[in-house]
Amino acid sequence: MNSINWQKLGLKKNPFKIVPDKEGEKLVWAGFKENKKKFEKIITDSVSSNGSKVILVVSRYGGGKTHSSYYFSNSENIPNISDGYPSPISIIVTSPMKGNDATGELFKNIVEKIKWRNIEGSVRGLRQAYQTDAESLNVLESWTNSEDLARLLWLMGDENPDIVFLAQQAIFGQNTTSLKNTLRIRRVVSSDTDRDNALSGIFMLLANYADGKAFDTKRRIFLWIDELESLIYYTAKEYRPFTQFLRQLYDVTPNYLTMFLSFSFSDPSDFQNIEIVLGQALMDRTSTSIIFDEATIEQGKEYLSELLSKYRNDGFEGGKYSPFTEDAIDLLLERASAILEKPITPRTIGKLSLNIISEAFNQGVLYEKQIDAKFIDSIKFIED
Amino acid sequence: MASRKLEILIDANSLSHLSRIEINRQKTDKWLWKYLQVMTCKSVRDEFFTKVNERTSTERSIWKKIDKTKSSVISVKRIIALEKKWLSQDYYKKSLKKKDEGERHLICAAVEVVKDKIFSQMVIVSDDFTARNYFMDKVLEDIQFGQIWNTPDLLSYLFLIHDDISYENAENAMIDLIAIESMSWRKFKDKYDTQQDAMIKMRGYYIKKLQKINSLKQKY
Repeated sequence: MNSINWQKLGLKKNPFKIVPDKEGEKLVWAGFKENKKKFEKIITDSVSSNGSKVILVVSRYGGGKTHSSYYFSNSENIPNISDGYPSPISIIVTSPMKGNDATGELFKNIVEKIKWRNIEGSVRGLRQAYQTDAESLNVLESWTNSEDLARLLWLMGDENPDIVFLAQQAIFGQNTTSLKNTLRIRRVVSSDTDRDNALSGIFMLLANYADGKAFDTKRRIFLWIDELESLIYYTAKEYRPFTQFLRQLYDVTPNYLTMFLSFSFSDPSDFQNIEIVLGQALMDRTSTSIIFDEATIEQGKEYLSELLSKYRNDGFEGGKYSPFTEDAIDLLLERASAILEKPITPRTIGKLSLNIISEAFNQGVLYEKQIDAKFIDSIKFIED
Repeated sequence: MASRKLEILIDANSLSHLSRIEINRQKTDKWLWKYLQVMTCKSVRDEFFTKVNERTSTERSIWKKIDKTKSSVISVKRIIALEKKWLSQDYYKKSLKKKDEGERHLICAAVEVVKDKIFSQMVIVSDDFTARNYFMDKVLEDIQFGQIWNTPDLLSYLFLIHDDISYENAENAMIDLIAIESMSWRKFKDKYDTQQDAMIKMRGYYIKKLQKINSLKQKY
């Protein structure tokens, strides 16, 4: 089956990905300069100051929240980090769809995203930094508020891989007498408070000793929690511990953590309703909000021209909207909402642009001339 | 002053939704009759028994109670006649099949008990948005024999009337109620809204309502 030859259209590849590309280095940022600046400011401020922060990112579906998290997870996209500031560590997780044991699932997802080997490396870095085991254990105890949790994390740097494996199991809540006897601990990570304290300890390890090296300037942890609107499906018994878990994670990690809470909602500036879902305690801890509202036609045009320019072949000399004419873009954006029955967002713009290009391809006219308003007007759109 | 309970006529899916919430740590079969005079019609009761194996234990307890309590299945004579001669001609233009039978019969039963002065008015509780939108709300617009509430409306009312229900308890119950997947959120769906958007708006609307009632109760 033939496919679209993007090179022939003056493009390196398809710029209209519907689902964000999760490989940060391949992502581009187009348009929406104000929000980009906001993210850059938050990130720059976070990197150069110690205090933890909670940032709320709200948009309609397809508004660019997930894209932003992957884009800014690539250190090359982080602006102006002064010398001596190590690149932050980004952890991107999605809120569990089901409320049953949501905190347990989120905790495991975060740890797995960090990767065991990175935790082990930072524990070894900590152990090497202190002359005695007691000193390094004391540091961990101050970070985790618990002797047993401190020992568990400390054992992650053990030379015996069997001990490390048992410690990992205990961190994930496996609770057997023989495991506890072997590790010489009295309890494993079982409650939400334990999970918060364990994560706080892990974040501090990463901030201080990521890659097994001690930093003069601490490394920043960016925790992106996507799709928090899923909380609407949680019952009260599931929802309250989950928001409490997030709140407490922030409270027990006073330094080096920036939590980005992503929330999809059709009325992104309606903070009253957002607060009713996320809870007042979490909202009160939010220092900044970034809102992606529906794009205007002008914003849509800017987005498209910048997006296309990022994928252009070197030396391309066609129009900035090619393979579209400008009047085609005006019509496309004017009709996008009605055709797709969705508001104008980067996702809907991309989806409609791709549909139109595919239609021109199927009709055999794609490479003949630029897609104009007349062509768009002739298409009978059937939304899937 | 008489502590008379509110009389309600309730449909099957509202009972099913209410069975999922607890008030003051009590399951529905305990608190529902404590606060309300619960009634339904025979077709709603029968509808339940055709699907008895799919029901949860709390739902089965509720229905056992309905079956055992004589006054729970409303005693009326004109349901079928009203349905054919009046409802199907003026409001329900589709053929009279099993679909919506419970809601049709609840409307006819409510009209009869109010017209015959058995009750001064009647509250029908239904979470069936499609039936409400198609004919139930229109009947009530024309003929004032009471009101139609959904289960969150009923919960808001119970919180207003009963001081043993704390705000936290009512809020938890409301969160649980609106989190139920079959709960009808469509009334809150604006253009381009997703199901989640509508559910968030619905929760916001009813939690704000509870907050206003709470403010009144504190100043009362």
